[in-house]
Amino acid sequence: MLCIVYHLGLIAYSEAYHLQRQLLCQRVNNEIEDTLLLLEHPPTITIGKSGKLGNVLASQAQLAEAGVSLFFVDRGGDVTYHGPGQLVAYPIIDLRQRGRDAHQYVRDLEEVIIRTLNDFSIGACRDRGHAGVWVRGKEIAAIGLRVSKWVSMHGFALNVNIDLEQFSLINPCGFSDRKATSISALLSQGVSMETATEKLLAHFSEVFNAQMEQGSDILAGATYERKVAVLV
Amino acid sequence: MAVQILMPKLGMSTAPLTLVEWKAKEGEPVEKGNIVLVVETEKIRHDIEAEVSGFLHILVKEGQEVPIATVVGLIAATKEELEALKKERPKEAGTAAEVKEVPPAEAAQVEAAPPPVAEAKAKERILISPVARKLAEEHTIDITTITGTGPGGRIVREDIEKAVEAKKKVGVEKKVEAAPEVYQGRRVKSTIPLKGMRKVIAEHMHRSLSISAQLTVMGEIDMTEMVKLRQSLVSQEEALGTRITYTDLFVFVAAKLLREYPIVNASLIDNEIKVWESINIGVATALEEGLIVPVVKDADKKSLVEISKTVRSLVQKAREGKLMPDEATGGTFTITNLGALGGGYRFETVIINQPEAAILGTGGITDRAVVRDGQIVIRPIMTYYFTYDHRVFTGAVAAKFMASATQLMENPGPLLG
Repeated sequence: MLCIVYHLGLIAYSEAYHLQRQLLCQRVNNEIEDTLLLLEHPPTITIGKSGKLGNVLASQAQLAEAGVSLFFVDRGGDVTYHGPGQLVAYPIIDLRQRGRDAHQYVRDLEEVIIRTLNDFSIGACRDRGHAGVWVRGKEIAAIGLRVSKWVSMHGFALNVNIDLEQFSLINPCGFSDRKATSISALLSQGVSMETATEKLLAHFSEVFNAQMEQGSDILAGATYERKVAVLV
Repeated sequence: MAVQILMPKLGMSTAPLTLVEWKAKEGEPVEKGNIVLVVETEKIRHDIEAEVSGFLHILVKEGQEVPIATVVGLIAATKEELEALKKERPKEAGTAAEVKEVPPAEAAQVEAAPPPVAEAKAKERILISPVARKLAEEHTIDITTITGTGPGGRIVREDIEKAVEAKKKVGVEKKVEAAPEVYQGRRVKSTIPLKGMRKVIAEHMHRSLSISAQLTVMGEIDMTEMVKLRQSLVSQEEALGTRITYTDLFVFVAAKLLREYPIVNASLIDNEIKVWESINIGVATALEEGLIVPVVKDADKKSLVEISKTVRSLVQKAREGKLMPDEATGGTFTITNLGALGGGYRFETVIINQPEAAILGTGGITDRAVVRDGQIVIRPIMTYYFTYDHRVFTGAVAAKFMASATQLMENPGPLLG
């Protein structure tokens, strides 16, 4: 199966969200292939439908001053933090063609992350009661999804070299006693987003049995402009 | 017969799901295909569509943890049926034995270890009403940009509504971060993102200049004879079936010359100069949003009339955004007639359209004073700018090519023969 990958760079949460909604509709109508968005967000806290505001440990004023945005979002899961240095992946995948098994899909996403971490000699594992990827009790990747008409959106966030101090603004996933970690923190050395992205793509392709293709300029406007990119 | 709404199986797992939200209220009409219910399990929010249209009768309330295949609601076909159902299966009951009431706080961690006590008592430092929260989510509003006007700075519905209105006024959501007012000593008027066609042109032009050794030969052509020729062709417009333009004539002339100077109709690709058999001449066309170069294929095999009709059709398609990919690729030489842009007598440099080896730019035709046989006379003069890639051929070749072009246009007899 084909999967088109778009590297969006640093993009605001709201912009990425609207793009996802658009892509989801197109995927439901089979107008596009399975799509994978890879990006980073500026400092942002997101709270899922069942998330509790009590898990945000800073006041509104403190967040505004620190330049951290806060959104309520329509995905599963509680509170999570996004920021530069964290690889965010939003796969827009048609689960109708993958056996309509949303649980397996979550397992598959965790598998992609676990294998990627393995490349860095980091042994990670799942928590049977709680989706996400953990290393020795600390969360290294958070997962939160929405499935609409059997097409997925939202996805996961893998901490590569993100500033872990920022996680003190929240109780990650609602746990006050669980901390976050990152690849760089575990290895005690800087790891680049490019390296992590490269490995992640390879494992994504493996686990989802997908042929990955580079997409281009998805944020540009009309289809005519896209055609021109090929012509000139 | 009322249609049942069942708790769905989302895969191989048989664990119970949390009924998070009914998208319609008790008794409200629902439409087939619209989302009627949202359930959640281990980090997945799953939307469920209504299988038929009708009136919703809710059996299980929001916030409950429900096993798979439980009947959580019914869609009645008519209002009468709805009333009958209400009497027979009141909302509170449901399949009471199996349904466990779970307080919303724990709904998200249904399968996990019980959350630590500290969490349940966590103090909320950000105050927002449930209605405002729902609205904020719907419109993807960044809460940190809102000032709460409720008690204790609580964010209420009106605050979000105001923000939504403000967002609408700004128009299409901003794709660009707000430009700084001053950038290194300069005040910013506006910021235009480099995207789409603009970005493509920018990259193409820059690349062209950086990979080739471009020089431009400039000069003038006495267009007296060409003006006469064109006028006579224009007067035959009906008979020819097309109005001949100068651009058509330039394509026609270039096609003839390229046969005589094949090295000008070539491309340097991977350390080899490919001399093309095809003579495909591109006609640079200005568009509102930039520029595009549709190509007249095999221009040397076409008559002037055929060239004219082809150019017209291509330019029309380009302006309407209907060019096919193969209509703007495969060029071996380009003509850019800048005369139409006005501005009088001038010279400019033009950039090669990669991977070609040369491009001919022409300016407007203006009356100039020139010397003929020791006398000052007035002639219609056109400027030209011929940019070529010195990696493919030398200045001597360029000079000869343009000398031939000038000669042919000042004495167009051979053109018509």
